[in-house]
Amino acid sequence: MRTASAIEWIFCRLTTKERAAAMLGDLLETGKEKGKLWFWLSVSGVALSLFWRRPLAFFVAYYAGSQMQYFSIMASMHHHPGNLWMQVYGLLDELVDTMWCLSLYAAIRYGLQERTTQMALAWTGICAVTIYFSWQPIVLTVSIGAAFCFVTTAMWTSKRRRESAVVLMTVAIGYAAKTLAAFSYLFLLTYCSSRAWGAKVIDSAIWFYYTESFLSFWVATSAWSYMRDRLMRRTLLESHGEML
Amino acid sequence: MAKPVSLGEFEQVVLLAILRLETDAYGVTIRSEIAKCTGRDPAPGALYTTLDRMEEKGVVRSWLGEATPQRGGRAKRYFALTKVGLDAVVSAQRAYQSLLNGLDILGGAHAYCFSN
Repeated sequence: MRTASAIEWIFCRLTTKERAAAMLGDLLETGKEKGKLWFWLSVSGVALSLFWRRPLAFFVAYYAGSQMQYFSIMASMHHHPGNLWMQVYGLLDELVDTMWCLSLYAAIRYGLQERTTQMALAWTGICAVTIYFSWQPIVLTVSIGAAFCFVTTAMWTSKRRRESAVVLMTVAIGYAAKTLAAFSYLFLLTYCSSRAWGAKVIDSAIWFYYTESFLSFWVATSAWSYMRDRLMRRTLLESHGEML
Repeated sequence: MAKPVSLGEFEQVVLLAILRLETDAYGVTIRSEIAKCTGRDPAPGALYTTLDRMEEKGVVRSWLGEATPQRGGRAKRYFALTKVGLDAVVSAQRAYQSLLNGLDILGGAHAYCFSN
């Protein structure tokens, strides 16, 4: 019984409480006929199938998002004066990085068919183009037009508004956490430099930044999962009128 | 008319098993129905992730049923198709049917060729 409770606790970390209990109940019921080996293999299989998407999405999106941001900067730097870019767009650059990472995370974890993923990808594209190529009048006009269309369609129904709220709130949380990480890193770096503590301490500060950056992305992805689950539950409750 | 939700092959198998089981479709019975009808025993992990995904797509709905001692007092999670799910599975099966029309692979001379 204690083993079953431990397994249920693990499943609860990966899915909702009701689903976890029902899955374990099914495995216990079948395990009585099929034996202990089948039971343990099935428990491992279920845990793995519930678990693998999130870490994969997390690391791939974190890496790929940073690369996408790098390519965007390189593309715009080709035409854009570097100094102005560094001074004016530093914070916006962090925003695009956060948006790329979160959109790719959603694409891997929930798939491209998901409305929130599509919304996040569309907004990321528009923001990236607007920020990096804003000095080109045609691009700026098209971006503003596209943004206006997206805002209009996103506000059309209450379901769309809720989906937009999930995307906006997650991006806001991710951006706030990432900015906080960047500022605390800069503060630490300035503090270490003022005391002349040497290269080793500065290396530690860089590791500190990477840890914080990972943590901030973890906070944002957790917020995304939490809000999306709530959104899904609400949508399901609303669609119960359509059931057989 | 709205376009029906697209379904994967395993999703169709699961939906048809749920339809066959009527009001008794939960994890254990769905697995055994699939095994009985198709001869393949799906992994529980694959089945649960498919059911969760289909619920999120609005293709099936679930509710909690009774708890039994052999389940360690844990409730069963029953499944049923939604209208969206039924439309999707009917549309997918119609597509298969129209592809099969005129092929005669389920009986007759071609069936003999395939089996040899």
